[in-house]
Amino acid sequence: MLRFPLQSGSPRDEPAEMILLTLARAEENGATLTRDDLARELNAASLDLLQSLISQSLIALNGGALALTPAGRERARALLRRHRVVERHLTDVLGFDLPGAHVQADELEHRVSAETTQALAEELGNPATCPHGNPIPSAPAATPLPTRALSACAAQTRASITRIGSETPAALQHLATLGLLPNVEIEVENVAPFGGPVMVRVGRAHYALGRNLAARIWIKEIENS
Amino acid sequence: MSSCHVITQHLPNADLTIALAGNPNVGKSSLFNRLTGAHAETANYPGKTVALNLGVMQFDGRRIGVIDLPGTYALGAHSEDQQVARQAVLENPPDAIVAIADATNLERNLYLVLQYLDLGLPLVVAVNLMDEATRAGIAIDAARLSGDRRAPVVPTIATRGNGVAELIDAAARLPRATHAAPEYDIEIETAIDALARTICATLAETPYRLTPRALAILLLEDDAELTRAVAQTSGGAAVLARSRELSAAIEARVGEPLSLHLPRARHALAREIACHATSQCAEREPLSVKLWRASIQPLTGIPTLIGVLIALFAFLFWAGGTMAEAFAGFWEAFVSPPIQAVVALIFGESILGKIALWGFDAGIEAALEIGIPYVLTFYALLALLEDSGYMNSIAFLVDALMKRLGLHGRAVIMLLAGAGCNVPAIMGTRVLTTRRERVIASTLVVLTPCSARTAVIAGGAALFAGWQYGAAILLISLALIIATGVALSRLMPGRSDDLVMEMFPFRVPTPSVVARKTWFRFREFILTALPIVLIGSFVMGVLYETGAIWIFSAPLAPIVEGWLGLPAIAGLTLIFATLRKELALQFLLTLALVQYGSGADNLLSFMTPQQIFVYALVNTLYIPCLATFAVLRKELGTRAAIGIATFTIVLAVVVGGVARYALAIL
Repeated sequence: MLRFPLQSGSPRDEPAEMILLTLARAEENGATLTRDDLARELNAASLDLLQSLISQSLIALNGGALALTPAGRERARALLRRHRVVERHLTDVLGFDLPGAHVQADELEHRVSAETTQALAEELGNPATCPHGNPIPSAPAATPLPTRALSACAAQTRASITRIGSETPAALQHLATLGLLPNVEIEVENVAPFGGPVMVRVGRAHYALGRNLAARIWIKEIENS
Repeated sequence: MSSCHVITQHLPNADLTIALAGNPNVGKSSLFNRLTGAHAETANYPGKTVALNLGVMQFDGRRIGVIDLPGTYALGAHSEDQQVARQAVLENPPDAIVAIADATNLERNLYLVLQYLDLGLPLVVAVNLMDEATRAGIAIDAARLSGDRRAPVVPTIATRGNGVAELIDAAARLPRATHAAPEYDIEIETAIDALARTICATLAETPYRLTPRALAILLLEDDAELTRAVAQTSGGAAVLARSRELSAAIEARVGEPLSLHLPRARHALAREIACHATSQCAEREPLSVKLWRASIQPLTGIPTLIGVLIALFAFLFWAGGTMAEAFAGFWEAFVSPPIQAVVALIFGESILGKIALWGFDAGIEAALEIGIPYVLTFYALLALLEDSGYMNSIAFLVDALMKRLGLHGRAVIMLLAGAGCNVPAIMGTRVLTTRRERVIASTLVVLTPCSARTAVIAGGAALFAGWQYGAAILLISLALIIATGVALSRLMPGRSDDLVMEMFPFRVPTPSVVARKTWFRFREFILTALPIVLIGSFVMGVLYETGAIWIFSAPLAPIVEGWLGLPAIAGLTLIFATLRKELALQFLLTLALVQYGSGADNLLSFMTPQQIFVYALVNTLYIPCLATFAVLRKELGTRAAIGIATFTIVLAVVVGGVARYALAIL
């Protein structure tokens, strides 16, 4: 019988760990995945492992949607932490560029131990985010999940951006030059019909943002006083 | 050729060069037109489509070269506009930068101004659109904006010329003046200073001869191009290591990388300066803003959009048709006779003379008869839509639809331009960021009936078979464009970029800007299309006058007569219409006269309305013309061009056959 002990450092666990990571990233972006989505994202063969992960109570199946159980989430967050701390180290200490660091971290996340990750993080001064700007889950405590996606807001909502969950640094920098940054106040002025763009006001400037992009921008509503 | 020459070769002997920089839609083009008048040209860097406008003006007895940079929000390298603006400024630093800022939105506009000041370039700020600011109840204190040692500031209304002379005067004096660089908070300033010192001590020479401070800021902001450039210099690795170290130290404290923290600080500084200099007398919403809001509200916006599009095309057909008729009359009365006389003088009545007339008389006439009335009118309307700001409202409303076609809202401009002529529309796809989007957009542009094909639809199908046939062809084209887009966006790997577009209230279009934009596009059309139309006309002349054309009749029979149910001569015209698509109809009538005798001057005498419909439909769908194929090949490569061409031919034959049998059942 196959067993998946899921202990760090064993390359054999890689396919199972990829499933957990994929679900965790989707969860961060507020998306839920089905078995088919997973098959598209990953090697289809690794889906055989899914049943095993479900039987280990790391993943739950609610209707068609896959969700991490608390135990699965804890495991996945540890993996995300490894990936992002390793990326930090690669860019800040070893001078990798961002795409290179991401590729290397994809390899190393399955092999680096929790102790090494902790040591690396401490040496880096416990950074809050990876070089792409995504939060590094802290070792014990949970990072609060963002409240709402911009794409889910109605017109006339005033809000503050909490996080931009885009993976490419170039896109983040471009949004930054337009003034779309965390902790910036915005107002949703208009929402185009049929899944069209969202028009937001930042200061006196107005931008139309595609709905997919808006789904990756997380906001906290501001009460009207 | 060194790309530095792009600017210097166009502006020789200038005593001084100034570059106009600013966000899009702040009146930069109006100012450029006012400064340089008609003496302007465009120049492209190798491999770049976004052009620089260059011109020369006389001021105070000096020749001043003026460079109109593409409008951008920042000095990055995110899009081709940004790359071109940046390359022009870095490779060939002008003597002065005139930064044009929108008085109604100083805060956002000052971001770019601060970036130029960070580069250490001499700069004067034009606070433009002062009239709109007044209407919106905004007052700006130029002296406060300029501050103690910052750049000079001149309020302007470029469309009326207010303040322009003072602006140029200030720019011309600039090189002797110095102004202070923007100051960020102490933490950032310490990092910039530390890195600048390392740069001074380590690098023998900075890229583009940037000041140490300017280079330090760009490196701390993670600028990809300069990071690469520094990595290649001796000592570069140490500078980059120091930059990462300083950046990491700040990030540990503030929780975000400097590549985001510095833009944040710059926005904050821009806001502070803008607030200090601006006073809002009363919150007024001018009519233009109210109309703009209505244009993007779904309830009012969508009916307006449908109305505008119908009016646009109705005007195009009415104005285009009237002008085409007048032009044909003019050509026949005044141009054609001298050409015929000259040809007769040189070649006599020989076959060579007849072939020469195909090219020099009919060929040039055809190109201009489509070009001037339809393409020129279309581009003028398109420029009006863009300059007024309504194009952005359209892009906003149709983004959801375009997304399903694998494109974003702004690509609708290319499809609309394709309805004028496919060639410049395909060139325009270069502004899309991914190859996937460019292939999808180009394919959809090719399926968009251009004015030449629309002329066949209107003059053939609608005139002889009935308007409902003409309308049906346009609707079928539209349905096929949508179906093809949906299929391509599902089948092609990757995903398309999301829309990020500034929305701004309507402006009254500036005639000179509209005229210039129309002229440049039209010139591109003439330069690309005319040679191919001429060559095509000669080839057709040779084939027709020597009788060689009939050879192609038999091999085509199974498809043309068997599957599509058309007369053999119709198939011939379909083949040769790739040289001159708009002449398919005229060519058909000409061959019919040869084949069936003089009674065949009406399509209905040898074709049924259904056949005319199938004929015009196939003519509309298959690969538009050689010029389009040539530009596809240049833009996307031979394989993609052949792929798209083959696809449209198969599509045309299949849809044409299906339409024939469907009509038979109905």
